[in-house]
Amino acid sequence: MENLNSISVLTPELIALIAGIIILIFFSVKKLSLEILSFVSILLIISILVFVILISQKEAVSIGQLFVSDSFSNFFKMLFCVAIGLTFLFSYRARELNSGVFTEYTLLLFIFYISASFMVMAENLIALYLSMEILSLISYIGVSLNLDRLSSREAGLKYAIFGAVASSLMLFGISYIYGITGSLNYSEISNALVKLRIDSEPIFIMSLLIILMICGGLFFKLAAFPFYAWSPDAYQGGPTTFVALLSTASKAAGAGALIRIMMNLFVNQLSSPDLSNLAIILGVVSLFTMTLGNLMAINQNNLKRLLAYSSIAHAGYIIMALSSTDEVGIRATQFYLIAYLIMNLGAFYCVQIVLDRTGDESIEAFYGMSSKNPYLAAIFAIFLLSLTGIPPFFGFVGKFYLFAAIIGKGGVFYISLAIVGVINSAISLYYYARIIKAMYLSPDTEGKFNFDIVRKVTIGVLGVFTIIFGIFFTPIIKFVETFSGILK
Amino acid sequence: MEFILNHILTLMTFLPILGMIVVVLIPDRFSMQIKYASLLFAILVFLLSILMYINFDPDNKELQFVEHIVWIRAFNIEYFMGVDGLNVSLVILTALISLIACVASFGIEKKVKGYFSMFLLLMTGMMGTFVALDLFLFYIFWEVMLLPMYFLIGIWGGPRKEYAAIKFFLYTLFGSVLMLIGIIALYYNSQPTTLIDGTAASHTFNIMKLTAENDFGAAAPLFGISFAKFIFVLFFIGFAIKIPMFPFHTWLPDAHVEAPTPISVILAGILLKMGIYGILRVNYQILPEATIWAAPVIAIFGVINIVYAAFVCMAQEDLKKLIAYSSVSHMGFSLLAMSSFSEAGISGAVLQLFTHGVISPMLFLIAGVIYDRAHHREINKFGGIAHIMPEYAAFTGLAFMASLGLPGLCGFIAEALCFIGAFSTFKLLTVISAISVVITAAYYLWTMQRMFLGPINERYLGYKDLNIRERLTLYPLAIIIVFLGFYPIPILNIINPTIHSLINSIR
Repeated sequence: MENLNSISVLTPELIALIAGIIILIFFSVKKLSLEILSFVSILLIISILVFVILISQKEAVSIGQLFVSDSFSNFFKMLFCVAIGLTFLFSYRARELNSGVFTEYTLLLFIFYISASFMVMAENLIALYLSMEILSLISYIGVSLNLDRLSSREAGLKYAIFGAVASSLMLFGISYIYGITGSLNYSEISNALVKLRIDSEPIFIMSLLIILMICGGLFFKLAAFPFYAWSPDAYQGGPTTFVALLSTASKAAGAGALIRIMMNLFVNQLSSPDLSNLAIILGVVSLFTMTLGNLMAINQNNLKRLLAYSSIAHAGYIIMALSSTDEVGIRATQFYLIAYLIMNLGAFYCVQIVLDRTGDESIEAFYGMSSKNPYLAAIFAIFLLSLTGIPPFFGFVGKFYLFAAIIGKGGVFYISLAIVGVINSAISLYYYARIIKAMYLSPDTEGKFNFDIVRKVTIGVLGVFTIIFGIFFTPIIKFVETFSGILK
Repeated sequence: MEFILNHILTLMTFLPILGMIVVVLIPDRFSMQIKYASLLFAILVFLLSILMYINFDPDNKELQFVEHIVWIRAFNIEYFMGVDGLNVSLVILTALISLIACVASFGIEKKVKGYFSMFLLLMTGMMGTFVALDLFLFYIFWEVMLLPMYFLIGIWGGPRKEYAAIKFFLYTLFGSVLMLIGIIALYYNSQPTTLIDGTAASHTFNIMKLTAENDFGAAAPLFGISFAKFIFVLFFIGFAIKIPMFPFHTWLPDAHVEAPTPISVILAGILLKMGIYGILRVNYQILPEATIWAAPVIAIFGVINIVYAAFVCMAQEDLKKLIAYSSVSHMGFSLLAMSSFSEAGISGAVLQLFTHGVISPMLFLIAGVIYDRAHHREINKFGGIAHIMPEYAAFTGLAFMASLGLPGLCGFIAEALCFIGAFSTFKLLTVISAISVVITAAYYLWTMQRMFLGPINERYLGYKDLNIRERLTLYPLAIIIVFLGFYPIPILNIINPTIHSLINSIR
């Protein structure tokens, strides 16, 4: 009975798996039109989302000490569903993904969902490693799918090499942890660490460092310092919709897994001094991540590359909030991930729309957009201002929540971190405003620019959410509070 | 009527948003209708402000026309608006200057719809900033203002508009994000209290509650100074950029020179007042001890503003740049006066906000009049304009005299109060500033001489004197300047009671 119960919480993943198999078998034999394939896929994703919501009513269930399905993981699964659904909606007319690879692309997205959701469910290091590795493989392939571009293959290769380093580092760390504590399960490791602390101080400290090494693998997923170098190339080369997914869902998966490690390995059992070490390390990582991301974004002319650096900076803000190592920080992160999902996907899709039409993804492609298509220009401007963190947009509330999480802790360390953070977000205005300047302030150009209704509605809805949740964000706070049940 | 009076602040703040929606819905080709629709909303807001002034009880030290409900319960954020002596004059000023700027905007030909929707959004931001009494709400309005300003300068501005617009945006955003840290830190260090609907709250953003129930003495020191002092610095930098205070003033000349005339009017008439208002509202009220600690520094910066900017004015070739720097100089009076903590000083500082808020828009309108005709503003290239445009010359003379503090015009009363108030505390600094008024007189008179007197320049012979639109904007301001110069009581009356209690709370 218990087994049955634990299987039933995996229904969403099973649906995704079956969907993937069916697509593999039928659609690769007989090529159907892209519209039908995407329509079916969107229906499947919606049904997965429905099942996730149904499951979220239940208690937390542990699956063989490897995975745990609780409200925290369900929160992330919902994010993945929304992100993947939007990806389908935007992919089927994408110029970069010619019809030849679209079936494979669909398959990839379903596996993306499965691996990402296992990643946030993992409560065992090997389970984490395996799910993360699958997610990485999917990402390497996805980035290389832009077959018309040489840079896409280059990006995929670079990404794979960086990924190999990060994951071998992680595996190395895991083997050490197993050697020291004799377990791979989070709570058992945590108990063993408490014992180690009394028995042998040096080994204890070493094992803390090793855990950080494991976190390094997650920093790679988040594209945080020092493992961020892959992301500009990958984002520039890869298909835009997939890159958008990488910058949101994949980062969310990394953040989710990081929070689980942080809370299960450190918070429950260990006393505060070690936690503050972790906080300082996370703080320093976030400081470098956001500063480097923002500074390097300033001079970018390629919008995908610019957004890549900007999303590095946003990973920095997220890690900054996590450095508070408490419940408020986690909730703030979850809140921000929702805001970031909406506005960053929106921003990438605006680039995609212009890219599909003109084949150009540089800032120049947006010159005079306010006269060519005022609607697109206005919505894109909303996303960019929201990313900057200017009220009354959703991104501001998200950033407010992040900063509140660390300022609430008080003390010189956190206040300094917050000051660096806000200065960074002022810097970010400069490069986001460059795009707005191109759209609005440059001289008008001749000609109109039009795109199809599905895309218009989609970015319109995302834009409306960005405004509405910037003013009435109580529902989002409620939602996050319902789904932050990681602290037992 | 009852309803209007109860919600007058909300109406004044959000009517322009309604106007913006109306303007957006009017098709592009009806540009005249768009202008009249915007004017209608600006007039409505102005009428409401008059109604508010009539119903404002000057003897009441408490907040009036209060709007107070819980907005976001999770963060104890309240929708809290109200006016007292500190902001009531500024609310009236905002409505007045917005109306005048709206009339002045009728000359805009390019992208009329975009211009007026941004203009109305700006009105909401400004009004909201002055009436909001919840720090979170205040911050939202404060930032909402930046956006339309960026577009208004960036799209409808002069040759270097992009540079000026982004410089304005970056400077002010930099200041306001520091302020954001201050706001959050105050929130987390505030004492448990109750929200307006009676529910308990562990922290609060309510400025009045933060003032009355918290002294932040228990909070841990930061970077070697007490918590309150550190937060004071954060807020002060944010506000100082807006004033703008030396050395943060460099965005102002660029923004003013590039902005279209009506936007310069708004910038000088309303936006610059927010810095001083913010310091009085937040720093003075919530952090009185830190304010006393910082007062000498504020005074010194005030004097630097006065003297330095006056000398810079002497060197200006561009009329608009000269007026911009004179604004910097005049804001210094307020800084100096308010750091003295005397009743005359703070009243003078607030009155100076109002009088400068009337005089400087007039100066910018004057600069706009000549720019519309000559398409340049270089003082030295003019000459003998008084013979060609006598009415214009008369208004310029009046505005210059008002700005340099000629008795009988409203600038004098405010400056005199500022000096009287400051002298009791900072004798030397006051003497230095008072002497520098001579420089102010010098640059204005010299400009007058170069532009309006002397031989007639043939190039300008055909210029017409003021047209009806320009008269509509200049006459009301001139009347107010003269009237308040002789009889400043209508404004002083509404300022004083609150100032009195503010000073008592600091001491």
